[in-house]
Order: sequence, then C-alpha cells, then structure tokens
Amino acid sequence: MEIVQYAQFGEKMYKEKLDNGLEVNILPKRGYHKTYGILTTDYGSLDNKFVPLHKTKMERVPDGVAHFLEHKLFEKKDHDAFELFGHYGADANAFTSFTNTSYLFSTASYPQKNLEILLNFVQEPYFNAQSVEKEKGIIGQEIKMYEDDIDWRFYFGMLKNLYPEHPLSVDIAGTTESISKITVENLYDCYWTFYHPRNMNLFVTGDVDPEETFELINKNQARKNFAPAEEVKRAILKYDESGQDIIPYRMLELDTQRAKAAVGVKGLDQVPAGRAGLTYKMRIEMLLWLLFSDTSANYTRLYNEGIIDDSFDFMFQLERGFHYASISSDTNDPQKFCHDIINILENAEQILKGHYQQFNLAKKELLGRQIHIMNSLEGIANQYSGHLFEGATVFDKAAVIQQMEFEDVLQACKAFIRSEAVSVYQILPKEGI
Amino acid sequence: MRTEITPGVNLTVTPNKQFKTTRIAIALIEPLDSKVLTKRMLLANVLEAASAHFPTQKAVAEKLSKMYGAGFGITVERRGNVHIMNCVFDSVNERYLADEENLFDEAFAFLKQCLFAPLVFNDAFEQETFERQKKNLGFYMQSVKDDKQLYAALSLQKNYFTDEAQRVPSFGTYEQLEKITSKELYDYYLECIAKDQIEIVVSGNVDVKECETLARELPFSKRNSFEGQLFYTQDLQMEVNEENEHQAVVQGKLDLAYNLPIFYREKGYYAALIFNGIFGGLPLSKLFMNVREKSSLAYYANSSYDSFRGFVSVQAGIQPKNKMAVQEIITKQLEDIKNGEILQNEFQDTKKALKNSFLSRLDSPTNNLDQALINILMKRNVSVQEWLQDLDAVSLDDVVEAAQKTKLQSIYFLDGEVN
Repeated sequence: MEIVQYAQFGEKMYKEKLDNGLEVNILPKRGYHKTYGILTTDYGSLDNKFVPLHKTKMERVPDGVAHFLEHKLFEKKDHDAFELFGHYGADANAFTSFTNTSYLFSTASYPQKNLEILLNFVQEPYFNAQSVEKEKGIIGQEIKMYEDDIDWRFYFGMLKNLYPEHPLSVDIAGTTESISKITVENLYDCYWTFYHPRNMNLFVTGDVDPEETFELINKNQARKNFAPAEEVKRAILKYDESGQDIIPYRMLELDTQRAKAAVGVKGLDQVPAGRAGLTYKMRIEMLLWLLFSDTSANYTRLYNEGIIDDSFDFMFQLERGFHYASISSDTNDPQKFCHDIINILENAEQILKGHYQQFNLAKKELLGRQIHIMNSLEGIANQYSGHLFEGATVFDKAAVIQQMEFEDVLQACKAFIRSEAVSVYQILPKEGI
Repeated sequence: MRTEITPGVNLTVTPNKQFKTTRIAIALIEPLDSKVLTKRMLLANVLEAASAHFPTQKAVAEKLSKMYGAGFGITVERRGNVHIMNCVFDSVNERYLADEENLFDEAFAFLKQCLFAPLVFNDAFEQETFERQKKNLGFYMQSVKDDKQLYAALSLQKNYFTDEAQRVPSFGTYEQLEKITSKELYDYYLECIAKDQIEIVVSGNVDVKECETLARELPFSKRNSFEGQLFYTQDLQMEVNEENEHQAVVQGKLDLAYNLPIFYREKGYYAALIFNGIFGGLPLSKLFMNVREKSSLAYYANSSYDSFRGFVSVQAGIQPKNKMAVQEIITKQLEDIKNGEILQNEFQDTKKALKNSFLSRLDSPTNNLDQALINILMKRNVSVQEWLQDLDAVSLDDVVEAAQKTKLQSIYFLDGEVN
C-alpha cells in the first residue's frame, strides 16, 4: 500500500494495484457522513470496434452498446443490484461517457456492505434476451428525451463538425435504430473484453478506514477468478492530423426562441502521454480562461455590445484519443459572434503576450476552483483521472496550476490553436415563427 | 447560534471544520407578492453585476479571481408564502493557501459594497448596466420555452395554483419586466434594504466573535421580521383541469399536480415524505418500477413534494400514443398506496433512502446553509437525532393516511401532434 501525501490540503491517499490488476485508491475524509465509491472501466461509446477477448478478429458492435451494458449490468438473475443498494441504504448510479463507464454508490450507512455490492454486481454479469429487449423501450425514451434537449443537440452538432465519420459524432446512447440490433452476445463480448480488473479502477472516499477497506477489497477479489489479463485490442480511430475532414460550417433551423452559435477548435496536435497530458490540459484551460473569461477584455466587449449574454461558455474536453475546445453562446447575432471569436483565436498569441498580470490572477482563480471541488466527495472521486493521466487527482491538478509558467501557456497556444482546426456550428430559429 | 444584530437583523454562525471553504449568506426576506416578483429577480441580477466599487462586470470578476476563485451570486427563491433574495459569498479558507491573505474580512467587505453601494446615478441604477441585465433576463425568460421539461413543469404550476404569486415562475414574467425602469428599481431597492427581514448566515471554520464584529459593520437599520403564515394553502378544486398543448417536440411530457395539505414538520410530514418516496420521489419508487422498469414506457417518471405549498407533482417523458396507458399506471400506483398495498421491504427501504439523503446533505455546504435558513424561518432547529427518530416512528398506516389526502387537480400534456 502506497501513501500519497498532499500536505498543502491536509489529505492523504492510499493506493494499491491488486494482483488481478485492479487499481484501488482510498481517500479517507473524517467528519463526512457518507462514503462514496466509484468503479470505472476504461471503456466508453467510442470503443465500438475491437477484438473480443479470446477471439482473433476485429468486430464492430452496434452504437450505444457501452451505455446499454451499463443499464443492464444492474440486473441479476435473482435480484436487481439497484434495489440491493437501496436495501442497504445506498443511492446508486452509473454513467457512460465517450471513453469511460462508471458505477457508483453513496451511503451514510453500511459503507462496507455497499462496497461489496458494487464490486460484485459489476464483476458478475448476467444478461438475458428478454430483459435486453425490454431495455430497448427505456433507452429509446432516453434517446428521445435528448432529442428534445436543444443544448444536447447543439453539443453534438459541433462534434459532428469536428469529427465526421468518427464515433464521437454519434450519441453515447446510440440511435433508436442501432440499439434495436444489440444482442446478449454483444453485451458479453464487450463485458469480457473491457471489464477485466486490469482495465478498471476503484476510488473510495468518505469516513472510511483505509486498512479495513483494503482488507475487504482484497478478500473480495481473492474469491473471484478472472481470465488471464490480455492487452485490449481496440481499432485505431481515424484521426486526420491535417484537419481536412473538418466540416467548417453547418447550421440547423429549429423551432427555438434564440440563436445559438459555437466556434470549435479541434486538437490536431499530439497530447503528451501520462501526467504531461494533464499539464497540457491545464495549460489549454488556462489559455481559454485568459482569452475568454469574464475578466478578459474580449468578454467585456462582446457582452457590452450585446453579442453574448450570461449563457456564454467555453470548454475544453480531453479524453483518450481526442481533444477539442468549444466557445459558445446564445446570441442575437450569430454571424458576428463567430466572426469575433475566430478573430480572437487567430490573434491569440498576440493577445496573450500583454496578459502576464491576468495570468497570475488566473492562477489564483483556477487554484481556488480546485479547492472548492475538494469539499465534495463526488468532486474528489470523479476528478480522478485513472489511466488517462496516470492516476492524477484533484490535488495533483492544484499542484500543476501552482507550478505553471506563463511561457508554458504561450507554447500550448501555438501547438493547439490552428486556423485549419476551426469550425462553426449554429442553431437558428426557424423563420416566420 | 442566532444573535440579534438589530431588530429584524440576525446573525447565525455554524462553525465547522469539515469544509475547505467559508460561506456567507445574506438573505433578504419578505412576504411573497406577485407584483414585485420580477423586480426582485432583476434587482438580484443588477446588484450582482456591478457596484460603485466594482463598476463593471470585469471589475467584479477580477476581484473574485483575486480572492482565489471566490463564488458570488444573488439568487431568488419562493418558499411557501415568503420570497428570499439570497446573496451568497463562498471563499477558500486561507489555511490552504501559500500566501498570507484575509479572505474572510474581504468577503464581508465585498458583500457590504454590493448591497449598500450599488452603481447609481441620479437616484436610478446606472442605465447601461440596468438595460443590459433587463435585456438578458428577458432573453432568459424566452429561452425557458426551449427547455421542454421546465416549460411543462411551469405550465402545470400555472394551471394548478389559484394564487397569482404561486402561478407565475419564480423568476417573474416578461410583461412585468418590460415595464420596469431603472428609477423604479432603485426605489424598490431602497425599500428592500430598509424593510426586508435580514438573516446573515455564516458557515465554515470561523470564529463566532469575529463574525459578529463583521456583521455589525453592515449598516442595516432596524425593521420588522416576517410574522405571517409561512405555508401556502389553497382550497381543493372540485374538477380536475386538463390542458393539452402542441409544440415541436419529439417526446411527450406528461405532468400531473396533486394537492397534499401536509406541511413541513407539521403533523404527518414524515409520513408524507415516505409517501412521496414510495410513490415517485426516489429511484426505487412505484412510478420508476412500474412506468419504467415493468412497462418500458418512459426513461424518467417521478414525483416531487413541495411541503411549503402542499403540492405534489409527477412528471414523465413518454410517447404521445401511450398517454392514457401511462396515466392509468400512475393513477393505479397512487390508488395502491391509498389501499395500503406497500410491501414491508418497500416501506423500510424508503425510510433508509430518506435517511441516507438526509445525512448526505450534511456533507454539502450549500445544503447546510439552506437548512440553516429554513430553521430560522421555522423558528426551530431539528437535531439529526430528532429527525431520524421522527422518520423511524412513522407507521405504514401513517403513510396510507398521507396518501389518502393526495388529490389529483391538474393534468398537463405537451406533445408534438399538430392540430
């Protein structure tokens, strides 16, 4: 058991990689009432083509399988794991992203019992044809709910521009059509390939004793047999480094009240592996903050001119295999918005050079935000990067911010912002409504 | 612990070492009045945007960044018959920073400037800031129509409530907004700052004496406290009102409203909490199990209980052709509870879930502050022990009794069918 000290924040993390490959992290938080545990596999909606365990050929599975599997894993032969958590006073949930699937519980009673339920239900799959069919109706309604969600459509609109012909342009839940094709065999293939302990990590935080918790986890894992670990063989996703596949502009007319406009920047540069990847990510976040936060001159001008309002937002997403930024707002003048944002991006380096003071301000801001996250057990555990950044935590992020130099941000700017990587997406109110 | 600073102005400090941040809230409380709802929302936005010391949004943002990403916001809330305008400042505890800073004193000073020195010219809010906030609030009100679930919930609220102040959204109406001038809003501000009941709540690793010294520096004059009836009640309507609206939606949104005259911490309250949990308020509820898990008719189907307004609502996203089927299932679940068809397991697990969510809320600084404010309004604290005991004491019969008081009043359905 390794102990990582975060002296500045008065926290200690206990970590260990078990014999079966499962990575376990425990962060005790005295004084908290509840315990939060989250078990994550390095597998999401993008992983739709791979060599299933014990097979030899690449197979393409229907879109939305990872999310479907997440729903179905709760159902067991003679019980429902969701109900079992309920029976032991825990709230349970799960979510699927492009590259991860996570299962979690939160409880103020029986933390140990619930931790066992978590490990057991995720590690003991039971899928059957009848319940797979039944789930199609529920997930079909989930997909339809998102179709009515204008912000969700807006989000995917930009992804489709930046990553056409790439699984990123498909909804995480798939489509009504794709999920209709999902079979029990698909679920088992995905399960055995991606839910091996060596592809997973467990994070537990709350009022727990680390030794006792490790003992429980070790005993639980020792009881189970897993196939010998094999390297997961995923299809390599096409990645055009020239940016030529990017759709530069698309718009959608909808029965909506106001126009929405977004400018996206696709990352065409290589993200360094491991912790350096986290450093890269934090630099880009800093870069965007300097260019677009409400302390920037650009924001003030656009806001005062009525081009943007409080819905203005900028974000940077970096996961396994992709990274991009998006700057968006509800606006009365989508053309001017996009024009001005692109203009800022094109002159980013010049703009930055005069901003050394703001950089020091931003360091304070971004550090403070991480400390705010440390109040929440969910915040601490969900910020854990897993494999992506070699197990970086929210406390490591705080350290990266404190060590950042202005020069680093300029370098990141040069690498990331390229004019051939830019795209525009707009949702406009239908004429005559 | 609550201390009177001056009549109608009180300070409550809840010291704790659990969190790495300190939170200060200054709540302005007054009886709910439909005529000023929109003004209060706009006032919150205008005061938040700028002050004489920080005359631009940029100046405010820079100040907050300097204070290590401090959070500051003014929110409005309707709770039963009162309206609360809450100015909240959230800053990092200095002990986690390398530099020597005194963020706590600065936080108080910032709130003082924001509330007592707004950006004003010639007895009116500075025109440009005022107009921009007014416009943006208008845009926000319009955009609600694009959030179909929210739009359906607001439509149901409009149909269910008989009192105007409860029918309109808590952020006000466009009709009222259009008419507000910056002079009028400033006059209204003067009225609020002089007359609203003031509750200052501080939570974090803080010193009580220091809080008191800082709170006394806020120049609030004496005023009256809210003494009216906190809970909103309305008569049962003889007929169920129904509305079916058509818009360009892919999924139908079905919303139902029920009257449940049981109020926060009053007789039957804990039973009502359990009833709502069994009905649709919790992940393992009857609505979830029957509408979603058994019949695959929805992804979400749940209920919520507003114990300050005696109001239960149900919402589900469904295919329009299944409306009658879903409505029947919902009705049957309520009937089953009324007939005592609750499994012992269901009953006990619901109690456990409510206990879990109650204890979990203690781990959130936001919830702690909200709870402190509710305790103040109720003029009584309930200890963790007391809460758990009262929940435990509820019998199955109590739950049935609560269910039997639940009466359907409104049905609202939004679908994509064209007339």
